[in-house]
Amino acid sequence: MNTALSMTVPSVGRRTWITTLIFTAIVVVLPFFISGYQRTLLQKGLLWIPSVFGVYILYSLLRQVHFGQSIFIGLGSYITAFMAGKYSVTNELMILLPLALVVSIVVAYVLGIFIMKRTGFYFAVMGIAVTMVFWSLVYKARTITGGSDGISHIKNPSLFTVPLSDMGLYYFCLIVSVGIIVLMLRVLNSSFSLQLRAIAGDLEKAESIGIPVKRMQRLAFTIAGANAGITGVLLAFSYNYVSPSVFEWGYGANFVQSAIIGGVTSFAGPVVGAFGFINLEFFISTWFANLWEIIIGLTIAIIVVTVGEKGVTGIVQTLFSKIRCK
Amino acid sequence: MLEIKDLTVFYGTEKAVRELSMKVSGEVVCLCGRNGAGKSTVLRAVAGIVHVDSGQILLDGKDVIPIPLHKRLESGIGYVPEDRKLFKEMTVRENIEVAKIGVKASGRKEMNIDELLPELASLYNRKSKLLSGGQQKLVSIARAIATSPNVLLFDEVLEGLARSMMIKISEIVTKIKAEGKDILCAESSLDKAGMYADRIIWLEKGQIVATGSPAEIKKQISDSIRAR
Amino acid sequence: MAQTIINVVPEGTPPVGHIFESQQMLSTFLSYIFNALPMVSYIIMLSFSLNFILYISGRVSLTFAGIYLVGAYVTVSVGTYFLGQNFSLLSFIAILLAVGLLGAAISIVVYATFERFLKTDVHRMIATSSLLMVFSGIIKIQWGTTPVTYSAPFLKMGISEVLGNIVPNYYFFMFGFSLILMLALAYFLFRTAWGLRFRATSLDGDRTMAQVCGVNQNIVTAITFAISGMLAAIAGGLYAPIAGASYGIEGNALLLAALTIIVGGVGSIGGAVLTAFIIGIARVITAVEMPLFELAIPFIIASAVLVVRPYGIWGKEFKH
Repeated sequence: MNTALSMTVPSVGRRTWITTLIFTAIVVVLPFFISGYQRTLLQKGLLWIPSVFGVYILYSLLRQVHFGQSIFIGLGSYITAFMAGKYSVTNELMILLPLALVVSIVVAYVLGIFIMKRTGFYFAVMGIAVTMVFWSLVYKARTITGGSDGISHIKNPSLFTVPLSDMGLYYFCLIVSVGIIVLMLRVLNSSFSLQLRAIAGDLEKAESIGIPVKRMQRLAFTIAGANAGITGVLLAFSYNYVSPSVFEWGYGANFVQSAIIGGVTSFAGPVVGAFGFINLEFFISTWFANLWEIIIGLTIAIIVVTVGEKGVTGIVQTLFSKIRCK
Repeated sequence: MLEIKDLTVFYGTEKAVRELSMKVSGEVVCLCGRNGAGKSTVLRAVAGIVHVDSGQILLDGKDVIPIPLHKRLESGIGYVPEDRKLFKEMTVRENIEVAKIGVKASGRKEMNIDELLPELASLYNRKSKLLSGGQQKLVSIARAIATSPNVLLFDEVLEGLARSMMIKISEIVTKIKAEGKDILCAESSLDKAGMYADRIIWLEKGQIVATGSPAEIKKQISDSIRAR
Repeated sequence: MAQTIINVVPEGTPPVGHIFESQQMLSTFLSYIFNALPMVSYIIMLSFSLNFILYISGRVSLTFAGIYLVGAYVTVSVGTYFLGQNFSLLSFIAILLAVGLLGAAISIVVYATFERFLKTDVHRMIATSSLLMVFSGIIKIQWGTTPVTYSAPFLKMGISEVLGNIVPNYYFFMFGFSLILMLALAYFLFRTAWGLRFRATSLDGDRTMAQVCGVNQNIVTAITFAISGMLAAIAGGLYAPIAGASYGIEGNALLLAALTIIVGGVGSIGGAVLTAFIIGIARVITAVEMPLFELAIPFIIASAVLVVRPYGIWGKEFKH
């Protein structure tokens, strides 16, 4: 796995923070100029970013493919559906978000013991397996989860007991999403990320210089899961509806595909990837209703064959560096 | 006859072998030098495992560089790798069989393995991973000579063996030479090379710095050490 | 991608065993085994379809799940079109073999035009999982999302009574067919000259040295993909008369094949067969006793094995 070392390793500098600031400013202002439907798309994109960041961390630092983000999105969504929909316990974000966070972290940590036992192909298929197990449980436990009908009529969320309007929810999602981006950038700039890179480079060598390999891998997996758990709560509130399809492995694969579209050689990757995938999905399914699976599948496959994991951001980077060289 | 002309091999951006030229005909030539001098790389280039960046490798006047890796043995180049690299789960017989079925020894004189390596006769049905290091080396040699190639490449064939086994293998190499084969070897120490080589080529940074009989090379080196 | 649960015991089929009525433990246990036969053969073939490529060429390829999907749908369509209700065993076997060839062809074409260019396992996993979307998209356009069935072979083959259990003959046919395929594969690997070449390039051998010994890697890999595609397509064809073909069954195939490799280890035909029995029987028992955990049980078994023996019960430690 020497490729991990030869991969260009981005570092968080002033330019990254400025870019983050510009991005935030754009998404703050944008809702005033676009339609309500476009805003929901934008909101979906914002909410996907943390989950894609989870995949990004595991891919760029550990070279692992994480197909299981849907597990945690599903958990967060169903927690929300139960609490704010079916059993009407609470719709308070300040209760639901920490709850989803804790559940995701616990589940991710416990799952990590099993599925981080082996890496590579085995980690990837265990991710698929777990999400399909959750899917079948939710699908079959019809009396509790509503089976394939899912749970609808989720109440609108409230923040500190103040009910949030649609616009309010958008800005809340924005704050959460940007908050997680900032947090992730800090994580990626810490010694933690260096240790993970060492593990990806040479597992045995990393172990011999005293890096607790298994714990670090599980920690990365847990961080990814926590991100997705938070996303799940807000996605459920955005749609007012949850169905077992959140646990489909294809849905989990979508986050990997987003990460690939965006590229894993730049911090902008997950952001570009999340928005890129959602727009691609939206436009293709409106223009070529039946063909969208084929087109998206082929697109990703061709991206992987031609540029590997560099993605859109990687291509842009190469173009820029070529221009600068001239 | 094996002839190498201006061979250059890059490892990444670094030159592992620089415009190396040499000739082997009816003798045992041994490449010697420090680690990273490029001895193994030359052998691997002739065997077809590493990509050659420029130069020619002529086997009886025919360039073998365009020949793909899996056709090299058929064209008459046998290779014994550094660390044995047997097919672990297979028996000794199957190990040798792999080379035999893939390659028809076209027009070459069949080599008698049982005569050259009588030790193997009793081991044919044993799984090769259960053999000792020396026995594995013999299987590795048998696999390379089974199809009677004209040129044989031995990469550190005496490395990590007991003294008695070294002597035995040196004798085998001499016997193979007697069958009219050209043999190119690589050995890290002059003492080991001296056990079977007719001529030694001393490499440094992928270039030939000295060539001659084992005794001459030893003398040159001790002279240069004294001169310092 | 939608998913569907495959019923282990499909609706509207003749009575199968005496699962609920039987008082005798042995009879109940035997009925579990008999009922597990289709699932066992399904798992054997699919897992080895994935396992074979992994073992021989060290590559990860999820395309087999898409080929399985194609195999199931084509068998249903071709069977309904040519045979309809007039079932004959020989023509059904002919259809299965034709579907197998189709699967082999698809597998080779996908490998030669696409998978060949993928550099690392990570890339292969992502690209081939995306290809599964393409497969299921094509299926959706051609056959729609409503399940299609072709149960003539299953119904026409009749039933037989074995030790007090009534078992459809098709179960034995399916199991026998898959077992013959695996035996043929084992014969090929361990008794023929080409099999020797395959083993030389496998994870147990040494790829570079195999090439040095005159083995053409490209041909070996192409045949490996062909065999894998054939197994996957025939698995789809054999299982279709029992479960039909529906949109999204490839997820299940992928899951069970991969979990079987985790339990059985890479490259062991015997390990794959035994694991298929363990997972198949466990799944049938849970399907009857605790239907909620039907899909969870293979996963639980695999997790337990991962903790106790990370390289599988019969597996060896491979780096790939």
